[in-house]
Amino acid sequence: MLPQLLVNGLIAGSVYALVALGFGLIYSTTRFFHFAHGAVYAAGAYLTYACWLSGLSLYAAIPLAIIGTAILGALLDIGVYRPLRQKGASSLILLLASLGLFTVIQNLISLVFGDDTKTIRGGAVTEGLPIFGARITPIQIAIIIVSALLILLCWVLMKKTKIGKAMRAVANDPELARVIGIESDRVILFTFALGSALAAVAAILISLDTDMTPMMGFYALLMGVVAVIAGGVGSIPGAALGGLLVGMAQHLGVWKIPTQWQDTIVFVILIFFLLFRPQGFLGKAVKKAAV
Amino acid sequence: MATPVLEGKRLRKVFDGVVAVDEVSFSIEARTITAIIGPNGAGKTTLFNLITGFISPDEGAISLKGSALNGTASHRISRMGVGRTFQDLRLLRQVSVVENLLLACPNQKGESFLPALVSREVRAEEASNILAVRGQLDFVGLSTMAGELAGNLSYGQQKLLSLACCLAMKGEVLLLDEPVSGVNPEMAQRILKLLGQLKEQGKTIVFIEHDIEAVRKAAGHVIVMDQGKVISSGLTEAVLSKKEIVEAYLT
Amino acid sequence: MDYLLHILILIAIYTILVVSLDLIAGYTGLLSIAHAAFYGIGAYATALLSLHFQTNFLINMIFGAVGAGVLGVIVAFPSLRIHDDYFVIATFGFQMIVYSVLNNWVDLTRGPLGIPGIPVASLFGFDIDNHWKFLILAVLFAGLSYLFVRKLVNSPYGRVLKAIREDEVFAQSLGKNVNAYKIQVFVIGGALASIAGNLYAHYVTFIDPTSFTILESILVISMVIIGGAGSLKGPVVGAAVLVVLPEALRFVGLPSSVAANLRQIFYGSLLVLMMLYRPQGLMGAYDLRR
Repeated sequence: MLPQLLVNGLIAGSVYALVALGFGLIYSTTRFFHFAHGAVYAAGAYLTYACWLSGLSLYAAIPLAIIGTAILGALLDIGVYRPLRQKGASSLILLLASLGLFTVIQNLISLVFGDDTKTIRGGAVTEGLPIFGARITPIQIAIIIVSALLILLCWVLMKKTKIGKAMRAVANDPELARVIGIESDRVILFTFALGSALAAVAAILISLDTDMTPMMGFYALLMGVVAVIAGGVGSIPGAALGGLLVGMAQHLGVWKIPTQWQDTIVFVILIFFLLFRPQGFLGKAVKKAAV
Repeated sequence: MATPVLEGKRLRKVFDGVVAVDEVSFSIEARTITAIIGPNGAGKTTLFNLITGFISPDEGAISLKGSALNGTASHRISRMGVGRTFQDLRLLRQVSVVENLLLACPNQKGESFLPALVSREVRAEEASNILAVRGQLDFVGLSTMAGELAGNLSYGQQKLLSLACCLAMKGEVLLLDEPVSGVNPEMAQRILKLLGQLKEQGKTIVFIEHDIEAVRKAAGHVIVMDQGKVISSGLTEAVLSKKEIVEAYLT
Repeated sequence: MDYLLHILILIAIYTILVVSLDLIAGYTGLLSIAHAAFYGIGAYATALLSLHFQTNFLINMIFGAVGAGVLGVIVAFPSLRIHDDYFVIATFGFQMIVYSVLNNWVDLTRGPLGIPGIPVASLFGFDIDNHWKFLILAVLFAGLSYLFVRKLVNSPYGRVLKAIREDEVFAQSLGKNVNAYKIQVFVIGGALASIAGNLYAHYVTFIDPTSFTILESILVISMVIIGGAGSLKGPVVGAAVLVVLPEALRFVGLPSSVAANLRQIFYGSLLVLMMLYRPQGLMGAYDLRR
């Protein structure tokens, strides 16, 4: 039982880590909670479905969908967030706008595709290979590996590449970044594209394992938010750690607590962190306004 | 020797490993004007925050006329008679000058939930507060701006307003963080003159400033701080003529 | 005619929800997306109490308000310690926890099955058993709530709330116990929202957790913001607009699920457009920009 729970926790945690990663990167450069990220996530899965439905193989549909989702994220920035930033909107206004965007995108998906479960899984549900007393399917192994790879790649991106350093500069001190010549609007646009692409990957991976519904984005967002808070906003290892924590807490919790309370545990964790350690494990301090 | 109005004993405060206030002791007598000077980062504003209860000291004690202040909530310290202004000029810019001052009036029954709903006295209380507020506006010279939004006032006028709000609380002690910095010399004169008048009325004033001339003109006592410590304190001329002080800060 | 009554009753119930949220978010500046949780507590309190104990809806209202008040203290607590944006997330967390409890504590709430057969509200032996009577009841409560909140926000108490909204450090330095006020507004606002929930339960006679989700919270905050946070009249206009306009879709003859999606797309887009072009809302009071 325990090994299976651990494996399930790891699988779920990997997906949450990817969502948290995208969400956290966007927060650190723009300083607001882009709730619409959940809807962008769902869009990634549904774009894949749409491409696949129109006859393309999954091998073509998936990359197309990822690019499409990245474009969607970028459009949200150009169309809504950037104009708001230019008007000097507070982070609360941006948050409200993102709530509106979330509602619109999620309902568009529901309108076009319907609320029933859709699948892009090729064959029947396989039983899974036995590993260490637990069962894990090839797709689930892929989830863990792809997720870990992407997290690593992002970390390298942030540390070693020019754009990554620019992202960090904008995250740390937007004023200073502008002074040294970094065009923060362009950096932010890139961050939205990257974050949205990561979300699309997470959604597609999950859909290959357990299908898709329009509400999936909402659910992933919740977990992503908790993961980011727990792990520490603005920290890549933090997002990974937070994702893992949320996945594990959810699945290991089942050991002692009835299944239906799985999610409640996660929210209690959220409140706990917000009250006692809002910077999460690895993030920077976020106390109330200084005097 | 009368008991000092405001006294601090061996205060210490550390932030993230940096010692902001280090073994600071001070003693402020009633009806005096004391200036606190020192370079940026010396711990002056931190000291104000400790006295007014916005942060609590790691060690040491603060007392107001003998009763302990540390450990008391900041809003309660304000009510005990210690008013303050802020370096970055806190005010309600989206409401009028009069509204700002009305907020500062102490002991308002109408500020509690039930009385606000049902008490008949609230209206009378408001009326008498409005009268009192007009008096304060006259004192600082802002009567003509009474209905103006605080955000529309000039910087110097906003400084006058924040002083007025501090006064409206009817406290005995006023802690002013940079009351004349950034204003033109005429306005600075005006504000310093007001401080003198307040002292005559029985108030005890402590202000932080960078302008040494202002300190010379207005303050009877000076405390010099640097890197969290009190370097020197005493009568203004005595302190300001000390060689080390002159070298470090006045050249 | 019955349809018109239905719309008016909904507007009345939402009026209570928006004025109570305006008190918290509009006047005190504490943006909360947990309001549906308080709404739900009021609804479930009356449903369960009437069914198990046959108590009068007014008694249930008191219990519901107390329960909501307790939740209010809990929800307010993080606002005393964490930064604005994170506080919204905390309210989000609380909303999800309360929904979770309503949906999963099946022994108490019957979970997703909901609670059917909620008895008709009865006032001193007089049964509110048709839509006309219910409208009068709803408008009565809506009017009282509006006047109550209006009295409060126009008093010195309200002045302190607005000060907290703009600069809580300044308010604190003027001797106001900011923490106490924050807790109070959540208790008062939450209790009012629970009253709306109570009325809703007796109106629809069947409730289930799906009426009290985060989407409902987002709808109510949208009404407040679109109408004009911090103006009381604005949110009521917002409530009317967001109840009436999507209903127009019914006449176009669309299947109900499509209408539901379109309704949400409508208020989501409106929220985005407002933020872009008129963040102070239709009746523009407080400017949300910093």
